[in-house]
Amino acid sequence: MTPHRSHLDELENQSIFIFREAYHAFKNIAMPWSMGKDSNVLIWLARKAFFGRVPFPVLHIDTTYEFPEMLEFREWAKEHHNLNLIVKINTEARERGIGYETHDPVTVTHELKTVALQQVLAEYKWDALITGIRRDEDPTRAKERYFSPRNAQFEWDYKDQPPEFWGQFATSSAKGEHVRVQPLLDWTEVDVWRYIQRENIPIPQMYFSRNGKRFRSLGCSPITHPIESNASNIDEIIAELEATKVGERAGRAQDHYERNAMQKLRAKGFL
Amino acid sequence: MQKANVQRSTSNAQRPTPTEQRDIGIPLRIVFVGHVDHGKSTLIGRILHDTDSLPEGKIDMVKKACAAEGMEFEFAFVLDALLEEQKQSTRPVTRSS
Repeated sequence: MTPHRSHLDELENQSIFIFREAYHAFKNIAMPWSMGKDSNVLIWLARKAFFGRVPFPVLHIDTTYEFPEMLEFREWAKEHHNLNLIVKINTEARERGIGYETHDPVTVTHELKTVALQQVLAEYKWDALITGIRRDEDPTRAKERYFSPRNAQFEWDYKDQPPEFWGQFATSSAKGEHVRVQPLLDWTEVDVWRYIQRENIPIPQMYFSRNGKRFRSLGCSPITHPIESNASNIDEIIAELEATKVGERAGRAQDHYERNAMQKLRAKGFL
Repeated sequence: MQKANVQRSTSNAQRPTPTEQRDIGIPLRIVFVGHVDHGKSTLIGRILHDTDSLPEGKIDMVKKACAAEGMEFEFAFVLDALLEEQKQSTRPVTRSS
């Protein structure tokens, strides 16, 4: 029997198609990179789409609350993948005293991630950002498009989103606007892990169990909590995910700070 | 984005049987079509619940959202996660049996 293309092949093909559509449609692209697992899959797919190189800058929004191990990984991966890395810190907000010590996680996330992104986008005038969000992460992300427009104020008009019939996407933006291009929307958390395993994609070691705990999702150190887990390799992580009833982002405080916290963050431009 | 599937279905020789489909991990895709307010989200929410497919704490979040809107339990809120969608649900269509 002829082997079928696997589900992972389908997802990979779809993502590469989206990458190439975006590269064809937009003049000035950047790709936010958090160094998390989805982000690293994104880099891997970009290299597959463009014959081994990432042909646009990769952006790390550094909140100054990063885990040191993630920063070490950043420096290693920058060399390993030969990335054109731009690091952005919202120094203005930090100087105003915005921080997790004194402010709530929704405010800090908005200032140090979204506003930082606004600042760096105004500087480089990117017309498209390639993001690694997935529909199964969060109910508001579930309503996203592959090509998702943002206005000049960074707002997401979720009440009036473009249809995406027959591979036709919103590929134009007016001055100051940009489009979020989201190649991983259809991937699930387990798909990401199966693909990391199949392709042997480098990821930070914090995802694997140490002393009975591991990080399932990675963000700012003061508001990101590890889960109880003995999963120390990818097979064990996949087995754990197939059995668990806990949501992926349960350890991310900003999502759960108040009702509709993610909606409020994302409507104003958070990824 | 389903071009590959459409192509494959034209050739019986290459189409996986349901068993093969399960074995190679291809998800089953289901579409719900219906008029606004006729219960698409409600039905999907109920199926996700009854098949034990919801993450821990999801039902509690839905309960809180329903309480904030002064409503009885509404399975549609599993999917209708935006504030506007929840406020639009003026007529409860679910029975929380």
